[in-house]
Amino acid sequence: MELKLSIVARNRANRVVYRHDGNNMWVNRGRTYLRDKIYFGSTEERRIRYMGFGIGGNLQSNALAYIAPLSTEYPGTNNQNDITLALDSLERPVQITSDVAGNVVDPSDIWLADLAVPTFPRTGMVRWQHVFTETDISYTDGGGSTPYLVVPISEVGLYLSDADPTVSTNELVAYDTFQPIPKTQLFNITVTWSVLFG
Amino acid sequence: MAKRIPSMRKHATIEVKSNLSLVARERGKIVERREGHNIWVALGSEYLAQIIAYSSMSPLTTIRDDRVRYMGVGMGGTRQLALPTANASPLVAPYPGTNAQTDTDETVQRLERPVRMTGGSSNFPYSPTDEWLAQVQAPPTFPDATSITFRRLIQENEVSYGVFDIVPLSEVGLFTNAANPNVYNNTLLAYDTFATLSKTEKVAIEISWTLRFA
Repeated sequence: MELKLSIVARNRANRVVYRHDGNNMWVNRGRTYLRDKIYFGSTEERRIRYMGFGIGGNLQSNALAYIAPLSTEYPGTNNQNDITLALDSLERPVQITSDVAGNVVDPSDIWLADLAVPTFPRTGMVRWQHVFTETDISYTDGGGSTPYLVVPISEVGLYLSDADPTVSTNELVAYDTFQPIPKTQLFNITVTWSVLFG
Repeated sequence: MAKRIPSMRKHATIEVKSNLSLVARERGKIVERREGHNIWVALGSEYLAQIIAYSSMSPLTTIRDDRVRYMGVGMGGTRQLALPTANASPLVAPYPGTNAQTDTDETVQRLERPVRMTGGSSNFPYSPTDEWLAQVQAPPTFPDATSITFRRLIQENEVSYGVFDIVPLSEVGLFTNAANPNVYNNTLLAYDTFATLSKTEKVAIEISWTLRFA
């Protein structure tokens, strides 16, 4: 099973401004999920459905992650690596959209993105994709202001269908941390997550 | 110019590691044993890719929901050591075929010379009441958080019954509940060929198949 991850940021002229190509890690929870998925009589009905970003992970090197507003709105440590299979969640998840700025729990908070219908580029391969728009993550709140001008995302997770996009504490099945991409309203980000079995 | 973010790497793959054990017992005493690794074939990889995905997000629609339910055995494969027996009466007519398949070839789709668990002794097209696949023990066992073991005991009166005094088994496959136990040519997820184990009405064979997502 090969685990490929591509994160491509494009500006309004469709030029690629950031690009991360690498692998990702299917964590222990994801491996147990696969185990439980395959036997007759299993009650495991979940499928891959969501993706989320964060500013955690030990590759975070952008100073903005460590000062306000991000240090207070998206607090946490930056200890997680993408070698430890035992991790459960993003370390410092970020909201994709919200009507209310800041670390205030609100029904409009969206922490996870719905994935598009996957494709199957070749036998044994499944590929999910999502485009985070210019105003996702570096969003404009209900008051019309942009609380997060620059969000240096540095971790990403893949989630099952029972995750709740309106909360930050979901458990993931796959994870990656990468050198930060400073998300602004000047570009969108396309994430392509491929799994090749065999 | 785009800034390329370097990456450091790690667990870039998950392998479906497989271990297979076949133990032949006569009146409870172990008389032969085969152990080895088998292959998760291309159809198995396709299965895994599809079983974790939706085909539609609105409404949520699955691609497939079948799960591992059966094992089947046969006389095919390159490790058949008793070809004179396998290619003679009474086996050759009801269970014809070549012995060309290996357990390193991911393109294997079926047992090469499947044999019935129970049923009659007719030649192709066989009887619709013949049973070619055996249900694995339910529930399976879980040696650890990322492993699963499927087991099946082939009883003394299975495979070797009626005119089939001795059946030289040399291949085994793993199947989902999408397979039809009453037909001989189901497609499989995993495959192994092994040095012949002769099944007689005095011998029971326990098959233990462990998969690990490592």
